[in-house]
Amino acid sequence: MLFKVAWRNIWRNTTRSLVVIASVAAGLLAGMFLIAFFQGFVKQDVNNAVEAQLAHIQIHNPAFGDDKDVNDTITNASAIVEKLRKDVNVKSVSGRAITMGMISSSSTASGVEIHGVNPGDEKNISSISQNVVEGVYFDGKKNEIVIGKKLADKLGVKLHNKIVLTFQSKSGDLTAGSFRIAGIFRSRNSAFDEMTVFTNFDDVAQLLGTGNGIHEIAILLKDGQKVDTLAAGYKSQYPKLLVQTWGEIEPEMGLLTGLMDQMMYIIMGIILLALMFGIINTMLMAVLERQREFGMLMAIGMNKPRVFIMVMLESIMLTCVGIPIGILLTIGIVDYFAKYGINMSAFSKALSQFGVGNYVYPELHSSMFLSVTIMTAITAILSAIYPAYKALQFKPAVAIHQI
Amino acid sequence: MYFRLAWRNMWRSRRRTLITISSIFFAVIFAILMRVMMVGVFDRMISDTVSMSCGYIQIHHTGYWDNRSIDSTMEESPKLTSLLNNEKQIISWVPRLETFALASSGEQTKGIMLMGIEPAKEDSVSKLSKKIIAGKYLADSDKGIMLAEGLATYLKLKVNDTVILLGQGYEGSMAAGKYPIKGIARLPIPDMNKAMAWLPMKSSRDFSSTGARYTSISIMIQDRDKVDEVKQSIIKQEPGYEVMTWQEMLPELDQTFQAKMGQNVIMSGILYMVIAFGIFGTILMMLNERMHEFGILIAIGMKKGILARVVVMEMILMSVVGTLLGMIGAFPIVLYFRLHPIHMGGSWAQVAAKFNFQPIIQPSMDLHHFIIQGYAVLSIAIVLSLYAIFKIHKIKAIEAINS
Repeated sequence: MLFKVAWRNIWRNTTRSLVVIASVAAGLLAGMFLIAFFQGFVKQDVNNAVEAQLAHIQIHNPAFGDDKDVNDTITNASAIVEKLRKDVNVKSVSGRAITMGMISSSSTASGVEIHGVNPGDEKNISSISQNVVEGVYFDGKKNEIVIGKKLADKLGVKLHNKIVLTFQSKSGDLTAGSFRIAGIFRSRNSAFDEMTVFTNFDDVAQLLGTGNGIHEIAILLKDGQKVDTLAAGYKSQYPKLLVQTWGEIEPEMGLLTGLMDQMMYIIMGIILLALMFGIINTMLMAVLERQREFGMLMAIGMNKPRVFIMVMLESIMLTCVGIPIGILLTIGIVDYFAKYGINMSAFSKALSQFGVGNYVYPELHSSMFLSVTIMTAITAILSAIYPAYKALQFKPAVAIHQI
Repeated sequence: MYFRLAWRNMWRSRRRTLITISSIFFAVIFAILMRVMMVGVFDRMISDTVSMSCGYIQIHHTGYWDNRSIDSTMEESPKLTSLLNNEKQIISWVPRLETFALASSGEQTKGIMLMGIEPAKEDSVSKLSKKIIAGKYLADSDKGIMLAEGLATYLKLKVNDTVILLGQGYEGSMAAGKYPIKGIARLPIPDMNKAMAWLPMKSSRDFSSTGARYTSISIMIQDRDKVDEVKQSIIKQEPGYEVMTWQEMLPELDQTFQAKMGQNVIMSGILYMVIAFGIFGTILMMLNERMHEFGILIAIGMKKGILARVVVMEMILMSVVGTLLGMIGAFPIVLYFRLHPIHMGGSWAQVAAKFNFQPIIQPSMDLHHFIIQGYAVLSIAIVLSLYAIFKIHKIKAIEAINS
């Protein structure tokens, strides 16, 4: 009975109801969009790191570690690479020869990590080839090198200049080679740009004396979500090798994601509080406006608990209508931005100089719907309590005479 | 006349006025809280990082920053000293004599960053004495040296052991010295922890035979936003030096900061949307409630244009009052959190430890955030109240009276 009365009350004054419904829908939209935006932002950070430098999975000789000793190559590497290439879950594979060395121009020198790569393979695994701002990503000539913009500035060198790489060969002697700069890249990570240079695998392997020995196998998967299960599979397949996911190589990335989560909950809290006060005010206005009506109801014998339950029921119903509307709105808006992206460079001058990769694509996971819906519903219903309580304070005799 | 009508209307229904004002009041408080919290987080990251490394502003001999040569030092200048002591924005400043050197324990040798400091003054800027984990902090007249923890571990040295330093001195002279280890400090940034050593200024000058010279002066200032002003004022009063701000010395930190600020614009946008719905709900309810009154006014000959003007005037009055009260009301809340910062745990604390800032959220007390947020909410409220004009023009007197 009360249920029916409450339902009819809602539609008796549509403007009032629509305002509350819209507030709930807006609150839900705000919460969901915020989470989707944060997820997209974090994912973009991770993707940038994965695509530019880490790949999904890396395989090393366990002894290679921090020292990056030239002798610690992966045994049977070529066979492993060929096998991975045929794996259905793997998008691309690249075998790299890696060594620490010194790069010197005529004016100054700097320490770098030298990556000997097969440009054809490397193009499919790392986005660096798309970030070349001057020159090209390998021309097919001998002794070419691709370096970061930051390093080029530090060394005071330009495209096509010659630089010298010095490092320790397999036999322990210092060896040096002269390389011509074929391309200059600029990624989003300037520390990486300063520390990493790329050369042809064969050129560096010849100087190192390692033949076709590979220090690092980088694997890009078709589906990044499966990284943990697939890595576990490779671990049991190659028990003598060190198989690491990007998360294990760079634990900071995981930490940053956690920090973003905490920040998101704080902001979410502020937004829900703002929503709460918005709804309290509207409901309070609605209840006070209906003084006469409540007075009348009480005068003809409706008891206080019933009035309270009626007002609460109305709020719950309004919330129930608002939530699906909010969800539909969210799906529509998030889908739009997931397709076209939010251009962050419009808000930040520093980002605009990067050009590509400044779009954030918000992401919705179905698991988020439930938690945000519950939080919004609780907020909406909590905000109805005070106005409903207020309705109980009316004295029928006075209330009836209100206009 | 309109004003008087509006004013009296406001007081006629205090309850309604109070609700409308409170909706704006809370909106302003939330907008301010969110902004000062976010700004506070970044202020903390920047000030902690900057104070541990280069300071907000550094003064060098022209050209020092690019080649970091010990020859590019500057002489002590009483004129510069008095200028720095008299500039109001400057809280503290420290001279430093930085040079590269080789540190050796006899068996192990490592390239290090040797920093000559005035211990007491330095401590007030970078709180170095709090980082001591063994032995004691340096005193001005000490003959000893202080090493970073990672460096001491690498050299396998303990407090009271002796370390040998070799390096290049002033104008090509040879620098060499033997120093007992007085203390060991643990720095949070791994790269610095592996490579830093400190000598008191006098020993350091003797080591590199520079005489009364130093490589840089680090300056801490009160208000981060004034950093360019202070820089210009130093250049104007004392030309002939290289004056750099933290943005120029740590471009990565500045970039990160700018990128996060872009994210903040989106989050503020979401909050404003929720706020707008809250205020709009209140305005809509208010208009709804007064339909009867408007109907009668129009019926007795009040022009709709004048009525609309009076109503909008009322709303503006209430918005202004709400905004002012909100700005005042936010102050004690912000002050409370300023004095009792929120301590964060979990991955926030881990990231903070990793990147060397305290894991706390301490809101900014900068008044211009209060004013800007107040202004933003006030604008939203005033734009929304224009809806009243539209609504009033649509009124049909007969229907309105009977509503």
